[in-house]
Amino acid sequence: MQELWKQRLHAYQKQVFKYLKYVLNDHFVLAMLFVLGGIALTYANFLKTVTVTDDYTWTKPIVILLLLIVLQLGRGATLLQPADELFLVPQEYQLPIYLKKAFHHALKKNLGLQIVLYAVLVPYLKIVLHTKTSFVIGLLVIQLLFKSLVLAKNYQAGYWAYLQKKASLVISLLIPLVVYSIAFYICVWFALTVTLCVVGYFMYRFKKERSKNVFAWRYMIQQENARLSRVYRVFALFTDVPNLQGKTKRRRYLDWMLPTMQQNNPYLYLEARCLVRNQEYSGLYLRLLILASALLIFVHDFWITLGVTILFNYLIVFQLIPLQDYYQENVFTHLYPVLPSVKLQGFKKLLSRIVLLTAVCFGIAALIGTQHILVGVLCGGIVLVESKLISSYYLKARIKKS
Amino acid sequence: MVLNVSHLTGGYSLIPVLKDLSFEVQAGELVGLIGLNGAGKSTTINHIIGLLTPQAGEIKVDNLLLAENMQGYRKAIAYIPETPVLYPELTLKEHIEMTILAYELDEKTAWEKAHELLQLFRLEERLDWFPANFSKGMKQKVMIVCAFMLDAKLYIIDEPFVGLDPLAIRDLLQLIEQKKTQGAAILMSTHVLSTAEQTCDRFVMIDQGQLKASGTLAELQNEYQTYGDNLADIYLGLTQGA
Repeated sequence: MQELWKQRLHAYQKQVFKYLKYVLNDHFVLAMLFVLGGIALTYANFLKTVTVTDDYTWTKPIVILLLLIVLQLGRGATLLQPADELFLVPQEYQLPIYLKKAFHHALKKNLGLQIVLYAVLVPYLKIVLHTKTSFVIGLLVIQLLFKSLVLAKNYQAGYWAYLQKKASLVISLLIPLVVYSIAFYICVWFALTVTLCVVGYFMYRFKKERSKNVFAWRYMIQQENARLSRVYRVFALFTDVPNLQGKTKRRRYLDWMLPTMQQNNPYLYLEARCLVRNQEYSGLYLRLLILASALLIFVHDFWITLGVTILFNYLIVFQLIPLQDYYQENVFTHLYPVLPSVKLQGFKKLLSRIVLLTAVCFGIAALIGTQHILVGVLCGGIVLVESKLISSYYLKARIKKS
Repeated sequence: MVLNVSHLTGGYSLIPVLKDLSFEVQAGELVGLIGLNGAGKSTTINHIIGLLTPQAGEIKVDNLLLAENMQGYRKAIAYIPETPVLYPELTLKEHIEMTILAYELDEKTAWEKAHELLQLFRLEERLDWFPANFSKGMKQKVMIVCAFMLDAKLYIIDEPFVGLDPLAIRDLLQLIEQKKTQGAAILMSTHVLSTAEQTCDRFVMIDQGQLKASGTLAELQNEYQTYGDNLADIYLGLTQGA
């Protein structure tokens, strides 16, 4: 079983690296540096303006909320596969060894991530909230203990039905909330003691449940699949991910915006329906649109506004381009007596409509954020021009390739 | 003649699956394409519908070559695949509209035909459903509706009898009969030799990518008396050399 874990981890990492190559392309790294740099600069400038007399104790709940959010980041991979339900069942008694390996791997990765993110918070704790170094260290230990518990919970869920329920959010959300509140408002060492008790209790329960229950294969495989599709969804922002199959929703209430037969282009007709009803495409588009619009509303700096507009429009357009190949597998799309130029035309028409929607949303959001009508118009314009550039350059390159 | 396959050599890679295959299908004729798994039936069909390009030889549909008149060639063919192929994002109604758009059919007459077919296969109530969630038999009925609403010269039907209920098989055979009298040519591949024997006008038997025999049942019986009387015996005798 140890060997099996190693093999699977190796294969999984190989696959992830393959996709990372596309994610971390030059444009994106540059854009990311730009945005992160902007945020870091704003943060640093803010820290400089804080004086000793400023009272920021009212921000404690916000810090608690941030800690809770950071705690939820990162899931443990079990790398269980659908066929395991059949083939690994005879080896079930050895499964704890496999899961332990997986847990240790996840622990290393996730505790590292927690420490890095926590480090970002440290200046705020020290400078703005005037906490002692001992408090900072104590809080870090609490955070790491809770993260370990949340990870362990993911791996133990196969043996303990309670953990498969929503009610188990008590472990990852409610108890940490209470403990963080104790740390900030009463005493960090008391909070640490509570944490140790909680972790100790659950370690005892995990062991007990594991010894008496049968492993819930189907649930755990489902969880792993859900985790994988979340990972792939991120990659799908940058490149085609074949492993991703979106669910279809009827969404009758959106029928009014779909192209009708009168527009006389079968591919416009088809692909527009895919975009609206396929959760993969519609979800990606909406998520990016809402996230970017929210960012634009809350950012007041001209350059960051510009950066966010360019970055997110880039992501949106790139994520939509694979749509034109979505039906490659369908034999009928090869049999229709339709010229390839009509197909390309249909896709371009669809893309231009989506881009128009993006431009309007970004423009209005930028207008609200910067209170400048010109900036709003500029952002809308940038979306149109950038999309035109990407689609004319990239679509041409694609046609040449095929 | 509507379909003319002459000296076709081809396949998926450089190693040909089909070797020098020739046969034809006339207007008003139902021809059964008979062969074991892996004999080359699907490859033949993929060549005819234009998914594969011949390595040698040529295929003419309604006297057109695909390379010379793509739109004319494709408009002449209606295809029903063995495994139903549907758009997960389109409703049944939209599948029909998609077909109308792609084949540039007249909307009114096409819908009249479609309604007739939908009624025949008891699908009218489900126009607003996603056929991707139907059972296999019902998906196949959707495929039949989308193919038979076309006014094609050549119908290609890949293994229609597996998965359809007996009532639907009867209705399909009636539809085929109708199209035949209207002058269409039909090529049907199948393993269900007993049904093929009763319905097909002629047979094309292939094995290992080569034509083994072709002709009407009477011609085949006459030529291969030693193997037996029915289609199954003749085919097995031909391929196994029994």
